[in-house]
Amino acid sequence: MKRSLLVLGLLMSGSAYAADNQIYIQQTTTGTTNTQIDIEQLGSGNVVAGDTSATGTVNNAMLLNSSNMVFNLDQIGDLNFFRADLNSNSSDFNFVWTGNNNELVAQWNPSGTFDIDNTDWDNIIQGGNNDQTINYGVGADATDGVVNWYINGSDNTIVFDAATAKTHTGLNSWNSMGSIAAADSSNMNLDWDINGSNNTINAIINSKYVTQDWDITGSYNEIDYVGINNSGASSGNGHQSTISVTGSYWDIGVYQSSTGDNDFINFSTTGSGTSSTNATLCIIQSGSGSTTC
Amino acid sequence: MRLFALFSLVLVPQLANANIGSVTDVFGVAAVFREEQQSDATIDFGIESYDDVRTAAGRIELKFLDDSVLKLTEHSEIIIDEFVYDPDPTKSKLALNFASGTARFITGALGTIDKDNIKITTPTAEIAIRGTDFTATVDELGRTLIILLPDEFGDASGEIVVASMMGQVTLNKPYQATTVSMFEKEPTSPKILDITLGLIDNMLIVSPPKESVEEDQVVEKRKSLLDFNDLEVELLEDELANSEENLEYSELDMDLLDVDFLRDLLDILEEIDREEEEEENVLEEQGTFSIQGTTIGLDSTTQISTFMEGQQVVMQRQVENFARLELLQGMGYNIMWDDNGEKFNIILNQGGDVYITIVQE
Repeated sequence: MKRSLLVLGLLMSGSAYAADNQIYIQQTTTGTTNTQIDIEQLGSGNVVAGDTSATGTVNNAMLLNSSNMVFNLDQIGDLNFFRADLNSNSSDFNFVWTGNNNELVAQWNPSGTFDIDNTDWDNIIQGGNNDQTINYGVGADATDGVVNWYINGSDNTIVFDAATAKTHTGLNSWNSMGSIAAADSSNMNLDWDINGSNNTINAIINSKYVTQDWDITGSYNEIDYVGINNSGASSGNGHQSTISVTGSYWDIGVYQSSTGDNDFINFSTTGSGTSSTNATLCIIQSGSGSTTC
Repeated sequence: MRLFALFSLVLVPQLANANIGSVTDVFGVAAVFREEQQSDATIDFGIESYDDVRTAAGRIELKFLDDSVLKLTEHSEIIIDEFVYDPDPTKSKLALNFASGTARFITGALGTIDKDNIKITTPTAEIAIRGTDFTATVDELGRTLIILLPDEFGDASGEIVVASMMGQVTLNKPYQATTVSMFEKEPTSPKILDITLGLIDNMLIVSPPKESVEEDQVVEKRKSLLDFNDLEVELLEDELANSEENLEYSELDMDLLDVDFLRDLLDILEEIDREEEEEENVLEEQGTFSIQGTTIGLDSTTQISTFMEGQQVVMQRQVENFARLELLQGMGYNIMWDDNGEKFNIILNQGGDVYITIVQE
């Protein structure tokens, strides 16, 4: 902790510590390495974001540039807010949200100062009605990125756009998102553990060799996953998705686009629907990009 | 019996121009037939295209120019239908016909023959290779058992596709096996055998321990070939009694029960399939499970493999992409499987409130 505080003290530029648990961070120095940040906020209405002096609003993203960063964030309480632009490769991010109605808006590599290769991120959500919008690898590689999601709550909404500037707009409209540059990321690995109901997750990933594990225990969960740009991946090593569902009334769509015809999906379920609320699964494995469910 | 009668033909000298491979190990009685002439198989004997290699009470190992290795156990026959060796792998070819017995084939690590150009056939099956180590056993009825073996790390050594006229299955897990009883029947769904590589090696080992690989032993075996007795049992007794050193050659290696074990696996696998089929029929008869739009097993139209696994019904389709569903046997499902616009509507248990759409193109 002593080391952590010292590091913050040295590297924060234009930072201020405001009342009511508001932390603003801006670290613009490039070439910084080995930054370690530990933040724990208790109570409601906490904020971690950028400097408010210019706009007077907390709706600015905090900015961090570094490599080999370790960033531990623990927000405990309701109505917390975290907004960040993070540029750091070979780093570890550990975020824990304990409470309801929290909001995360984050971009990894928005400026391209660093790629986010070899970065691990554990994101634990213990609560409900949380909104998280993540753009992971906006303008650069996310190769060997590992993202582990633990969602233990209900009514959470997640938008996860990885290694692409495109935004997920639904399984059946992905082809209208416009041209998508060839993937320059590979070997992304994502684990989704969802223990709750009524969660909505939209994910789009532009990368070769994406491996995903979805374990869903809960009902009324809605998942839309689009995996694109697997061209160049060798046979048998395309997008690999394993989905296990033990809840009911799920609505799951998986689009795996590959010209290499080497995508893999394994779907296992014990759940069901009713005549008024079906359980639906749509899997599209296509290289043409025009198919919809 | 036919095999032994052929061994009584006049031996011919080893040809000097053999150039597609050679005998790298031999134990016991083995011969090479070339243009209806029989040659005693000895180490460094050159192998040519169209050679017919047979063993009686012996085992043999061949190594081809591309470093592929072929091992035959007792009472086996393989015909080299074609071998073309070219510096350009796409122009090289290897075609083998496993006629009977048990063989282990290990593809060359040099990649000097495109895997697509390696064709292996048995009386009932065709085998396509994607970099692999496997065994093939063909019994007297032509039934074929194929087992995919692991690599040095214990992983699958690659992938092989076993096909008959009615369908094909892919083996891609260590010790995964399938059988083909007739070319007009589908290969059985792959099963993983509870065996070890050591056991397979024991069944297929060619070289006895060094102390027993004495030149004079080999010569002695060759002499016995000339005096070959049609009575197989006597031959085996003769071999076992041949020398005390033979006792050092592991009984696992020498005991034909080992080979029989491989052959017995054919019956075991067929029995498993029969039991599973009966179980599935019982489920259907009891009204606890019904399926429309595809069949249990590999459906040649939908190319979906459907089978029971515990309380689940598993549906798997791999033509290019791979999709696998693990669903509950007792629940209703509506499944639309679309392959390039060709739609297969599959209904489990009269349908229900679960709707699954899969498009593969």
